[in-house]
Amino acid sequence: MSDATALDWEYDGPVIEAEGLSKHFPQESGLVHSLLGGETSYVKAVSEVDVAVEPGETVGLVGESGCGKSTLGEVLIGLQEPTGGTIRFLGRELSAMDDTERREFRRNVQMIFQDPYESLNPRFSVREWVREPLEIHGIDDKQRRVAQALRRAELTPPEQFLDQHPHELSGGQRQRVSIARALVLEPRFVVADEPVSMLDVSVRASILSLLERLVEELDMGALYISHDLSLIRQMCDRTNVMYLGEIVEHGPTERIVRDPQHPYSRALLDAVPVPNPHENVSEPPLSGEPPDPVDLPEGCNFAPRCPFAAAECAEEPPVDAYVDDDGLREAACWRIDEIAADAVPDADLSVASDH
Amino acid sequence: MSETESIEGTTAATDTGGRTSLRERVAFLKEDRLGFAGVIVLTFVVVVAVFAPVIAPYDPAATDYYASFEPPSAAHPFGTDNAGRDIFSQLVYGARPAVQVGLFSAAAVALIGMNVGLVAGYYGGLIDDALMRLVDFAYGIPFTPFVIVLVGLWEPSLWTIVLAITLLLWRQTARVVRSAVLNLKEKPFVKSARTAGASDRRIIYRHIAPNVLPLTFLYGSFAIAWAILTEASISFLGFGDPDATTWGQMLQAALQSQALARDAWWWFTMPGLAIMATVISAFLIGRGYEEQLNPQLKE
Repeated sequence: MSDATALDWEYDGPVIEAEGLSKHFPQESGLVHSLLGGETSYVKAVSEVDVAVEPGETVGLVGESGCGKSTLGEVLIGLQEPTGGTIRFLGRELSAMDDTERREFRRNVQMIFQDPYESLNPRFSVREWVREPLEIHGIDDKQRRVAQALRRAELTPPEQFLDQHPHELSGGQRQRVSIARALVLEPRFVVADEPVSMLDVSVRASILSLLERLVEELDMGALYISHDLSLIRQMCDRTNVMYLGEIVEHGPTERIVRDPQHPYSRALLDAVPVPNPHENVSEPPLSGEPPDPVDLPEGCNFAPRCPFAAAECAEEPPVDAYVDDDGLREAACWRIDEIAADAVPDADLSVASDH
Repeated sequence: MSETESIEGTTAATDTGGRTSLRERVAFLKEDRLGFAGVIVLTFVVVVAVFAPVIAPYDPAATDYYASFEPPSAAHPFGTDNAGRDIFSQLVYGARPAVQVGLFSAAAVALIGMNVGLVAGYYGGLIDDALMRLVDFAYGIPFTPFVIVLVGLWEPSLWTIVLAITLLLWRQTARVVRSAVLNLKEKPFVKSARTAGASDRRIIYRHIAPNVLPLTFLYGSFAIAWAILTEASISFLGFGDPDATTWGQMLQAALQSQALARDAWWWFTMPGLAIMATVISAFLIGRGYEEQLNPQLKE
């Protein structure tokens, strides 16, 4: 990769950095509607998000399904064009990149997908699949690099897997092949989109520790997307909690897990099942579905489902509405001080459920 | 190899997305006897076509007016026609244009239909609209009259017939492939290809096309049957290549010479049976293959 010259490889800031990033999808409204002068409505999958990932760091992104986590991941690696905001890769703004820089960017950001059964092409052998990125980018020494990538993904000995096809592999092995394909280009930034959610619990741990080790070894930045806070806790130093396209709380993972501030983070943590039969099963803390991201409520997005909602929530809180004393954690909620003052009765939470 | 075979054998029936070797692709024949019979008959026709000069006892065009309208005999196993030409030899040589028209049309239909389907399905939008309206247009053309007009415009030759059949039959393949592509292009492995930096062309031909190939084969095998049938109808109607010995041409000659009225049943029965057997076997292969791709059809 030393032949790459266009980008600043010695840049010592975040490997990827997004500011005010938005992705709004226009709704298909039909010919008649638009002829009648109807306005196009937008699905706000990602709104005004700031994220930064340092080299060698794994940043978590947690939220329930449909909240825009995957869209954010895909926008960050350039699979989808943002509709607002900026992305900088090694300090260089994406929208200002020329073709050479864009190719280098493409080569240096990769993704590990959720479903190991659908993310491998059934007609490619492991060798062809892991080798393809090298072919696309015209990188030499393919055989050695493929073997090395497989070894890194702990598919050893590589010779045993090279000629196998996806249907001959287990789910865990398939995910390792995905990892090998993503890493064969030695990227600087990787998005792991729920990489273990489809796997048996028994193989999850080994895949996670593999990812953890590789991030450190290759000094990559990684964005780990999951709906499961317990996995995020194992993987990530810093975490972003996402709700309906917005980051509602971010900061050091341990702090968020031990002492969540935003009501949504609290609810998310309460939803993590505790593997203890003596523990009382409490009411699900959150009921109802998130509102339709097409017409979001005015003010705080979470207010309609929030047990602590009050008059001031009619105004939208910025992400730094609440900041920890040391400035490491921020949360988008006006009422955190009041909420902390109450002793969060469980009964309150169940009252909030709308029927 | 034997181990992978047994694994693949069990998945092939249900997992159409799985990679299958040629051997498994034809494995359905073991269970599907009709399809197997189809393969036997079609192979037989191809062998006859290839070795026609060796098999045929006479020149199919050689006339012998002393031996006209002879019923089947040792010298002429399937009898002779009004000019004393040997029916058996004509039948053997008639396999050549049948195979030629069938295979070339099927190949052209598969090639055009698959590419149109791939491009329309993958790019979507205006390109898709334009190509699919073209398909709708092709669907609106009445089959036989169109072929007759086309053959009438150009010289009547086998290639004109192949072209005409191709121009009409690509529509179905295109439509089916397009709908498969619409589904395939949303698969994560396509996203993975895009993440790796693959170009559209690479995604279409390396990632998507191999997954629609079985469908293309299926519609190709149906095209073989349609093409042979169409060629026979066109020749029968008198728009065929007058110099070629084809089964349809034989039927047409029999009709014109009033073979039925002269009790020369062998003249029209034999080419009729040959057409029927060939067309049915191509359909049976297609049907068996379709069942393998889509197991619900078995019920």
